[in-house]
Amino acid sequence: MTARLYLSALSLEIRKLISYRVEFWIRIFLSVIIHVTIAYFIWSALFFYNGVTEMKGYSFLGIVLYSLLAPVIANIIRAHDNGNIAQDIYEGTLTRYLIYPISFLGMKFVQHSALSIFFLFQLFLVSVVFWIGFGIPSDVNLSFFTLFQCIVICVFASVVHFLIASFLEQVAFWADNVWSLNVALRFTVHFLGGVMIPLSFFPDWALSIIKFTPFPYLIYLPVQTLLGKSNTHDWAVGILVLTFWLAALTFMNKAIWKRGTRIYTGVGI
Amino acid sequence: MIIDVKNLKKDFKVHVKEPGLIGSVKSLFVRNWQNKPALNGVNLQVDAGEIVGLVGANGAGKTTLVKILAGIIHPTSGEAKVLGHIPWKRENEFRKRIALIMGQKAQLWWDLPAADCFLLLREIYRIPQIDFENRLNRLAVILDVQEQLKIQIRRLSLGERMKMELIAALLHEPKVVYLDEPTIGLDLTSQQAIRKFILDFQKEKNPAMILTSHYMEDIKSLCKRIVIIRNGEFVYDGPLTKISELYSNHKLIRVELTGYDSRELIERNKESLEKMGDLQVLSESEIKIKVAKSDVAMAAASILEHFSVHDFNIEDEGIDTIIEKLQNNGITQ
Repeated sequence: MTARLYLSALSLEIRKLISYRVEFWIRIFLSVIIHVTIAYFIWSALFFYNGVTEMKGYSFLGIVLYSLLAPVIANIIRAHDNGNIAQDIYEGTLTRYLIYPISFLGMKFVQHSALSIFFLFQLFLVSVVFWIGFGIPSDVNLSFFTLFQCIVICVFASVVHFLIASFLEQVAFWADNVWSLNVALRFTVHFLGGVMIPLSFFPDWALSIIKFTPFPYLIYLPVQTLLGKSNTHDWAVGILVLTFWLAALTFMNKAIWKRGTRIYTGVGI
Repeated sequence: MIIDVKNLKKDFKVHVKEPGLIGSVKSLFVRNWQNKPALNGVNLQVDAGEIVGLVGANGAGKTTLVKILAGIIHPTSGEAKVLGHIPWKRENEFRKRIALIMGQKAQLWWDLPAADCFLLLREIYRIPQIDFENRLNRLAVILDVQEQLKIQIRRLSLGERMKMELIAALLHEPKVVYLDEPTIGLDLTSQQAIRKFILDFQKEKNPAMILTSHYMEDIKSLCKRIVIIRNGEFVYDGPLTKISELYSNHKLIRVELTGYDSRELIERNKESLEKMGDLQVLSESEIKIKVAKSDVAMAAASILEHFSVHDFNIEDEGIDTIIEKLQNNGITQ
């Protein structure tokens, strides 16, 4: 796929995303407001009943900011994980992509990237709203360098997540419905990625196991990097692990695509 | 030769489930599969400039053949080459030179205006800007959809949407075009417009085309050659005009009588007319008789001798009827 085609498809996807105005603004703010409200009450209760001003290195405002950033960064990384690859396979829309001289997964990645850019815009907006409302928490060391590191690792994480999701969704070549696999992936990414609670609250033995999976590097590490709570060594290790998974998942995707398209029946026409 | 198919076979493996709750529970553990043959060793050659009508009942295998030739699905066995490529290898050089138009399935992006979809297609097929603009303007004018180019696809009527699908499929000027039910669900005016457009495109660009349709009018207007497919096998492959010669054993004699007592005359001679063949009284003075080819001369002479005739015609049996019989196992060669 040429860069021009890639950009043209990306622009088309962004136009699709903003073609419904009401949906656009609801999507930007509603889920974040719900997440932050829940986090605010849970963490204020925990801080109040424990009578502490800091927990596992987070101030109250710091943990609220974490609870704001984690779901937004999760959105950037996950983007299209709502089963649209599987849907294309079992509804037969895949046929369109097989006819055109383009890569199906390439086009799906473009859709994924368009949504990631949309959520990047969401990250910018909600960060500004937080900054105006509460200022920057004392335990957060935000800088242009951490922002740069965060963006780089987000790119890697986003590609790896796309490859995990697309691999699972291609099971639809064999099983008509893979919705439960999507739900399992989303739950795993949220739990082991640190969206529900920061991974520093996990016991050490659990951390020593999950560090070999791609999950802690998908959301938790980008958020920690952005907040200035991880060092360059952790960041570099994260990039290395994600690169390994990227290579392995690319191979796995190619293999499943080759086998899957052999048995594809192009239902619906 | 643009399309060359040899002994192509395709079987589908279908999951069979017993009805009821027990059947559903059983299928959780043990699955029964059945092999369903869709194509049974077909051969086909199509040259540039030909429009071949692929006709068959539902489930006969026509769409399966089109899917294989477009590279969407793999065959079980056999060979096929389209423009020198094996379709299911899906090489980009092959995909750049074919188009598939599916009347029952939209290929354009519903949330966007057609103009935006065409811009993406320009990039996909790498059409030079000037060629793209010229072709798009020309196609939009011929199909009379210039005003609709900026409207979201989902808001267009079925006819307008089909016209946009045609433009999308032909912008890159493919050398092979597969048309799967291109006029399905359209009103008569749109059907005629699309048929005329396809014919003009074929005359001008000379692509090889395969058309599947249940509308006999599509086949009759567009195809000189038809292939009739039944249960995955070709039962006829040849000129449309030859089909009645080969498969019809009957002719239709249409007679219009003259005189005020025509009705009475028909009633009086009904028995002898029915002996000639299947009699159909069309009006007070008009009859139609389906007569065996061997008896036509005798029947015609007898009618002219016994009736006062105003108009007299001998016609071939309708192609629609013969094709329908062929595809439904009514006639064998």
